[in-house]
Amino acid sequence: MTDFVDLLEDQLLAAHAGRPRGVWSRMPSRRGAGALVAAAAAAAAIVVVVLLLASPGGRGDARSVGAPARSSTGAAPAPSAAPPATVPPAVPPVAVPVPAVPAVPPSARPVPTTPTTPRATPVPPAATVPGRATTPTSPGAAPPPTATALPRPPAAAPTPRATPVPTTAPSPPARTTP
Amino acid sequence: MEHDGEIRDEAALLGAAADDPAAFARFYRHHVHGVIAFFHRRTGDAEAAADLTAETFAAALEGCHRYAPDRGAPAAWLYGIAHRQLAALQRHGHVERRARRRMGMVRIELTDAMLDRVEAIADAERVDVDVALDALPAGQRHAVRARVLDECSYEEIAAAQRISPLAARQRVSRGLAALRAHLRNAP
Repeated sequence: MTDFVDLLEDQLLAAHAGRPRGVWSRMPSRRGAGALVAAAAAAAAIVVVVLLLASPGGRGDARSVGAPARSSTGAAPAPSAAPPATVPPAVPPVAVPVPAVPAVPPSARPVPTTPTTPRATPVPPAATVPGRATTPTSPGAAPPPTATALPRPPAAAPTPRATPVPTTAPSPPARTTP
Repeated sequence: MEHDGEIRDEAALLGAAADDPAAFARFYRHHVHGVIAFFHRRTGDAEAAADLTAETFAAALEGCHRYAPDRGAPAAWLYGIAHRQLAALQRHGHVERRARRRMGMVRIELTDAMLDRVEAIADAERVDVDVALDALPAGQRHAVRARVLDECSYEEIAAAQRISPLAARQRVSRGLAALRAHLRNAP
């Protein structure tokens, strides 16, 4: 009579004889190997993403993507003038609001509006000068001031906000001096 | 102390089983009856118990080269595999066959004679344990039954027997040691 226990032992010993030996027997199980492969793939993907972000081409793309978004909001007339020139100035304004934030708390709300209004108000003064305002090129003339004024904001913008918010007049002279 | 030495010997046996068929055969012979009884007690079915036993030892053969003594006693390692097979049966409704397939083992077609033998092995193991349990003092017997069969916590055992949890732990430990000694000396 064949016993289940003996039959199973025979099967196990036959399987034992047919097992891979040496290095293969020390390899991890399928599940472990799958986990290793998945971890390696994830690490490779992270490296590729980091390299893409670190490469100059990647940054250029990132800026070119950011610039149009900004120009679409504020600098609509600029693109015709000089797209490459407007792109670099577009970057500093990003930094400008950051220093402005600490100054904001005293007057919480005006901050977002002031960066635009001081520049918007100067335009009317330029329009008050407007013997030239009659010339249709005034929109074209307006962008260059903004282009030159953009580098200033780090230094110039805080002062007009601190004191001159009530008075809009001082801002035009500040622009004429440079 | 003697028990620790036995575990060390068995760990060495299992460690050698990866490369030595005779070592694996000894390990198999030492545990196969207990594993059959374990499955029969939980499934109540001789065919399922035999199937689960075959899959458990196939998985053990497949993974014995990964066994390390710091992962526990060989018996605990083997019964860990057995528990997983049982859980897979309860989850899927059928006995896993993956380990056997990977090891190139075919399913054993069980005859009535084989099933009778499986029943006999399970009964013999149960009788042995029952006899050994009956030989224990009542407190230890109830504590071991509650802890091992009913999976009660030591706090529950202590509350049932109106003793401290520490005393309950001692009763279970001493009862298991006496059982082990009885089964080791059994013919």
